[in-house]
Parts: sequence; C-alpha cells; structure tokens
Amino acid sequence: MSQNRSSLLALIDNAERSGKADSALPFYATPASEIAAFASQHALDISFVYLVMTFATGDTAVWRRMIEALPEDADTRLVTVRWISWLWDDPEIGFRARIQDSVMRANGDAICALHHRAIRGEPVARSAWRQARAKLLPSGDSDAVEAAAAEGIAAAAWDLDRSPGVATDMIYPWKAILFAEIGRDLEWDTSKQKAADERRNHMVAAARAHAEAAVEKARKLGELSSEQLENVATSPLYQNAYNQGANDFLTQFPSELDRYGDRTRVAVADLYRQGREGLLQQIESLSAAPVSTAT
Amino acid sequence: MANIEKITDANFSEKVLGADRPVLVDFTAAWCGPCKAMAPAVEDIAREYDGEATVYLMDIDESPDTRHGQGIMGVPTFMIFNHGEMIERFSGSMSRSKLAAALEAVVADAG
Repeated sequence: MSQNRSSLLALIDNAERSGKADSALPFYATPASEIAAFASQHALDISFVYLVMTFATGDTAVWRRMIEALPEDADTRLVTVRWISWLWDDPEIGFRARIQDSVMRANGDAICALHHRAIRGEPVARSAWRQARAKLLPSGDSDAVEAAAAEGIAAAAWDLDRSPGVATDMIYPWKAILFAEIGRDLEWDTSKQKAADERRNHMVAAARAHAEAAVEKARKLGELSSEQLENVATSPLYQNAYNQGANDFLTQFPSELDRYGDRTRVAVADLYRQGREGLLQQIESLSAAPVSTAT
Repeated sequence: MANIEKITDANFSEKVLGADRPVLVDFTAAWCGPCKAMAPAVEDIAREYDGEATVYLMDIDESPDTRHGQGIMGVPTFMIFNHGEMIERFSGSMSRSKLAAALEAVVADAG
C-alpha cells in the first residue's frame, strides 16, 4: 500500500476514533485552499476530493470505502471525468435521458468529450468551455425537467484544472430534476405550494408552543441551570419537545399537502446514495479494465 | 478569497451603483457554511469574467445599511448590477454555470 494511502487511512481512523470527521477531513465548508493542500498531501486530484467529501457528508465509513477501493497510483482525475460521464449517460439516473431534443443531447455529449480530451492532455481553450455552456442554455419552451437536465451537464462544463469543484455543482440541477419530476407526478402547482407553506407555518408554531411549554414546566420545577436557560433553544429538552410537537401536529392533522415534501426528502437521500454508489463504481472501474479515456 | 475585493457600506455606491461595467455582488457572512461552499465558484466566475465584469464580496454583518437597503434576507445572495441597476438576484447555493449564465447575459447586453 502506498504511503499516501496509508497516511490517509490513518487520518480516517483518527477521525473515526475522535468522532470529529469535519476537523480532520475536508467537508463542504472547508476553504478551497485547504482542500487543495489536502489533495496535494495525499496525491489525490482536487476534483476527486470534492466528490468524495460531498458524498461522504462527514461519514468516515464512506471515506474509508472510497480510499480503500482506489487502486495503487490511481488517476483520480479520471474518476471525476468518468463520474461526470456516468451522471450524464446512465440510462436510469443520467441527465441525458431526460432531454428529448437531439441537438441538446449532442451538446451535452460534447461536454463529456471535452473532459476526455483534456484528460488525454489535449489543450481545450477556455472559450471552448464557455461556448459549450452557452449551447446548453434552455430555450423558452423547455420543460422544467429538460431545462434542469441541460443545466446539469452545463454545470460541469469548466476546466477541471481551473475549477475543480464543478462535478459537485451537478448536484444542484440533479435535485432540480428530481423535484420537477415529483411536482409533475403530483400535479404540484403554486397554490398547492402556498397551502403547504401555510401548513408548515402552523406546524412550526405548534412545535414551538410545545417546546416552550416544556421549557416553562422544567423551569418551574428548577430542572434547568442558568446556563441551560441562556441557550434554551439549542438544549436537548427544547429540541426533543419541538420534534414531539411537530410529530403530534402531523399525526393529528394528516394532509396530502405533505406528499411533495415527503417525496423530495426521500429523493435527496436517494440522490446522495446513488451519487456515492456511482462514484464507487468509477473508482472500481479503474482496476477492472485498462485505463481508457476514449469517449 | 484573496482575489476578490471586499466592499462595505462605505463604498457600495461607488463600486457597485456607480460602476461602468456589470457587477456581481456576493452577499455573504462569516458564519455561513453554504457561502464558504460557494466561494470557489465565485472565485472561478471572477477569473472567467475578469476584464468584462467585476465581482465583489460583501459581509452583511459588516454592512447593515446595504443589507437593509437591498433587502437581503439570507445568505448567500447574489445580485448582478449593470450601470447601477439591479438586473438579477439569486438566493441560495447554485452551480457556477447558472450564475455565470446570468452574468454573461448582462455582459453581452452591456457589450
């Protein structure tokens, strides 16, 4: 095992033992300069570090799984490029299948081709990336799913040397695709959303009232220290009572208006699971077949 | 973000409203995690449009007058101005391509 990988696995071990993954491993709020230093220290491509930290979401077990799966001297930039292509091309998950317009599809294909050219060491001018993005601007008659899918591949149309975080940018439009599809299934419109927002406000008010009543009861019984009273909103007592109040409201007043929120929450969890699995597939593909950069 | 100038209430009018080219302002805060996650994207956009548009950072806690004046309710918020007029406004995290497309449309109009 290479020294770089051993030291990284040791770092993951320490993070696991200390329970402080975010202080040992990069996460979404880590400054870009520190992410670059971490990547350099462990001989990983910066774009790959962005992907792993995004899908690990602070879970050291995911970090370990990704790093242990890396072949010796793996080209981790190639993993990123293959992940971008996978998210574009995959027949079930991919953005490409969501676009009906053949020209737009070809424009998306061209972005993957640019990444493959770049990884072969061929020069790709900054203007080529810019033109590629411009070709994917949605037209006025694109539906929400198609527009988000086009934005999804356009999000990746930047030089990975200059902009190593762009693969993770694809997650924002990926969420937009899923939300638009759920909205279409449920025939969700602005009036339903307004009603759902109002219902949420009622739920929050009920949950707050429940939490404040629990705090008041504890205060009268002398169960809260002065320190706890100062930070009462973040105390376990308040938080647990708030969650209980919210659950009571949802049980007492069930509504179809919760369906959109329920489904989008599940969709986001699925997105992160699929993104993680897709990334692992690309890592494993490095050892399964000779490295190919052909498109 | 060493290569992006930070502005305050004291020079917002001069730098943004009085600018003769498109301006993107990233309203941010020291405590805002999503703002930190967006920081590399904003740097990329500043590099990409160097010479065509100007990108500034503004900490809303250090610039309460502009925060209230511009009605900033949360961060990150991005505002694109051209000749002092606010053209586009976005809140929350987004891809750099989406932000770049909005800025590019203003740059094209300005050109």
